[in-house]
Amino acid sequence: MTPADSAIEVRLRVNGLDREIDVDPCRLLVEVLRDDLGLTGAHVGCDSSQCGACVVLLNGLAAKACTVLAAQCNESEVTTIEGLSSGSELHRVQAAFQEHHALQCGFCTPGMIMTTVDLLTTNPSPTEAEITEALHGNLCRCTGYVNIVRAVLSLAAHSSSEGGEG
Amino acid sequence: MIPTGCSYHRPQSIDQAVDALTSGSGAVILAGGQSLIPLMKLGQSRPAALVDVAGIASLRYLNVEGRRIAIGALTTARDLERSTDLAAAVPVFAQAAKQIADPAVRARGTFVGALAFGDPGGDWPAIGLALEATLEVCGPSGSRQVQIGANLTPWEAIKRNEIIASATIEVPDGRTAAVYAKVRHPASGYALVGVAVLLTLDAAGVCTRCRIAATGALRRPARLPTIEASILGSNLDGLDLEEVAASLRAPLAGITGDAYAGSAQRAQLLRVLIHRTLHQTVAKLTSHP
Repeated sequence: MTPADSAIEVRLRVNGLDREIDVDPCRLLVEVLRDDLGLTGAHVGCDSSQCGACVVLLNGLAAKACTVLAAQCNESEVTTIEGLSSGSELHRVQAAFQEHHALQCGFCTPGMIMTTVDLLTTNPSPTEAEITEALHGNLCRCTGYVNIVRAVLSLAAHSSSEGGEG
Repeated sequence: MIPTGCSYHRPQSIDQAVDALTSGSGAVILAGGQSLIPLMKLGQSRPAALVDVAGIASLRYLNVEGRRIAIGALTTARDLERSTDLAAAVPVFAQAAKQIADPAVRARGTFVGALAFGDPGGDWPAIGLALEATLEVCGPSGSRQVQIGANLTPWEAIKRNEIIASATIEVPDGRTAAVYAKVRHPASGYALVGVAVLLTLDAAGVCTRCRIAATGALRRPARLPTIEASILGSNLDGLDLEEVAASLRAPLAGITGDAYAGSAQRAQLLRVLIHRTLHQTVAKLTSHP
């Protein structure tokens, strides 16, 4: 998209890389990530901050990228699902989702995983109730959530489950 | 997607923000954006300019001094939910914060922004009303204090070129407790109906202060002075709280209805929540005299 006359410069760090982009002030972070930077892992599900498929980490906190302007991310650090794994080795949350079959179509999965990363950063040993609460802004239309909660629970520091430390 | 364009300002001070608001018509403040951005997508808000105040570091604070709480304009629901100092001083903040939208929205949305915006189904306006927040409002001619009272709503008192820098809440001395409860819309998370209650009792158990604020059920969040008056001065031991809540009859014309819940349903939910919040508040006061 050609920046309009009102385009403004935004400097941000995305998945560890410094980026300088000119964006229209009304463009959403998720649009810039997907259309300008080619990072299509954050999905646009509802575009109304309800479904959570677009969740990324903004300065370490889970945020709905459909309800953040790219312009608001100046001097910020953004981590998307693409920034989690190192090479072919999955991040431990990704591995736990794989291990516990916590996805079917996979559309909601990037948002689920980024929200889980934020949860485990602030609460390394969440209970099942805390996991359900943390994920309630992330909708999944396939799984019924059971295996998603199971996957996250396997990562809780007190968990004795074998899965998830990928 | 946001269908319209606009210009964008990044002030580094409150003065610069006021200048940006004053210089062009149609400029609005952008803080967390969790109310504004959805409205811009729907075309219900079409600002000519956004004044993004996130760069004004002096607006990002939470001060808890005894029972006096000062909340800067950039302090988010997540900040209020997770502050242990605040949870110890005025637990209703964390209790209400947990009921707002979802964690990702709470990480961006601000308390002061919610008061400024005054969404009819917003949660924080009920807390601001019940706890009688005082707003510090900055404009071209300096700053002034605006108290949220029963009949004063900030969204009517604040001018286009003013910015709310902070909200201050002073919890009254004595046996005081507050509770917020809501019935949430299952998708959006907004309150179909929400009620915030603050009660103060004297040593004999007589109610010396009663604030009951409703959201979701009215055109704008507001206090319910008639119900408040029926409790004030009473000994709560001898009061039938269900009867008090059921007495909400007269203003039914003011109760809103829409496709999600009709006005009769909202009125009933309002009665249920008034009863529930009063009961919970009294229980808190009884268990921690």
